[in-house]
Amino acid sequence: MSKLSDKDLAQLMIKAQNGEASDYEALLTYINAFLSNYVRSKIRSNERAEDVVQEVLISIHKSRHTYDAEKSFMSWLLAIAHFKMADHFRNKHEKTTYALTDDIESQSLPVLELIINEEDRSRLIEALSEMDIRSQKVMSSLKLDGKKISEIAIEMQLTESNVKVIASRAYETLRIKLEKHK
Amino acid sequence: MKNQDLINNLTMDLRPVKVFKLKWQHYATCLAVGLFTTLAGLAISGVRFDLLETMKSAQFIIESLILIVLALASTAIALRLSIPHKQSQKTKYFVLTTLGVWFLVLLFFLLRSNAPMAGWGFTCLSQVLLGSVFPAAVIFFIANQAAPLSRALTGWVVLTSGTAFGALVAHFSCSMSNPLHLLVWHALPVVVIGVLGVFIGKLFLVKI
Repeated sequence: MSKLSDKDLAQLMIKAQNGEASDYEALLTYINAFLSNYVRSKIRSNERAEDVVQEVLISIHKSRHTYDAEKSFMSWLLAIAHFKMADHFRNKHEKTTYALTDDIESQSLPVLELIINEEDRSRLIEALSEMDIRSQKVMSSLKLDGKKISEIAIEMQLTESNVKVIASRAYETLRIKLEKHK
Repeated sequence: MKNQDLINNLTMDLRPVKVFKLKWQHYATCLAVGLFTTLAGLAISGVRFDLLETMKSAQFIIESLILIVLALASTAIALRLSIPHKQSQKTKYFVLTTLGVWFLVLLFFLLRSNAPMAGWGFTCLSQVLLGSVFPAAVIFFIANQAAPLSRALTGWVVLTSGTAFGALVAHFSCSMSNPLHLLVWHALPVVVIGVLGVFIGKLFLVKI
């Protein structure tokens, strides 16, 4: 996608304010691509970054009537993006996700370790079966088969970051389930 | 939901909009409403009998200036907060600083006072409260036509602005000049009601 100038974006926004759907779609598509890179440079988790980008797109839609054609479009857009990112960090999602995905392979999993050490795989398998297919695959490969993140990523045709995010969420869900079954 | 699906949904939801621009007329309307409320409040409550004499006192002059700055600045800031690229974190600190200065001034005079006395102040409290309603409602209405990103912050500043006008009514009609009375029955209600604005903002301002 070719880079659009602030003036080009402003023109697209003005047309969108007038109800021109094709221009609006082009504008949102461009903003999506721009923001995806921009937000990912600030937020490590791909899933969280995607959430923030979606929130920004929705905010743009709801507040499009406040864009003043005489002002810079990018400053208007970035004001919304920065607010949504600040909101995200305030909710501490990033810290939690980052801590969990930092070194998921060597992370201490007291409940899981106990099960594996006692060879009580049936409880783990039962808990895993209640999760979605991708999470099952990642967690069983990681903890039962002892595979590395890089190996799982290749096998499942995902990026290592994606595998880490799936694993961290699955780990948390699994931990809660297993503690309930104790 | 994938981003492309969202883009498709938003595009399908597209309608022409009337562009909202913050104009001097918005500021003027809010200030006019604030001024009208203050004058109406004074007409009902009556001006303090010793106003001419009190206007010579440093405490009264400083407090008057602070209240006027707080009312005017909070109004302008509240309106700016309703436009995404016009808001700035510094504006929040300006309101906080003005409130802080007010409290410091009152504390300063309180420490110098021989006989601090809070006294009875429900009349003052009701003036601050009632005087805030109309100005705050107008600013809320205008802000809601725009797109305030932070509803909590906007709500706080709107209510601070409204109560500042109410506090002006109390300031010019209440005959008690004791710093402790001013602190408890004039300044503190402005802060407390302002904080309530955080919740009112989240309730009534449109979520962006």
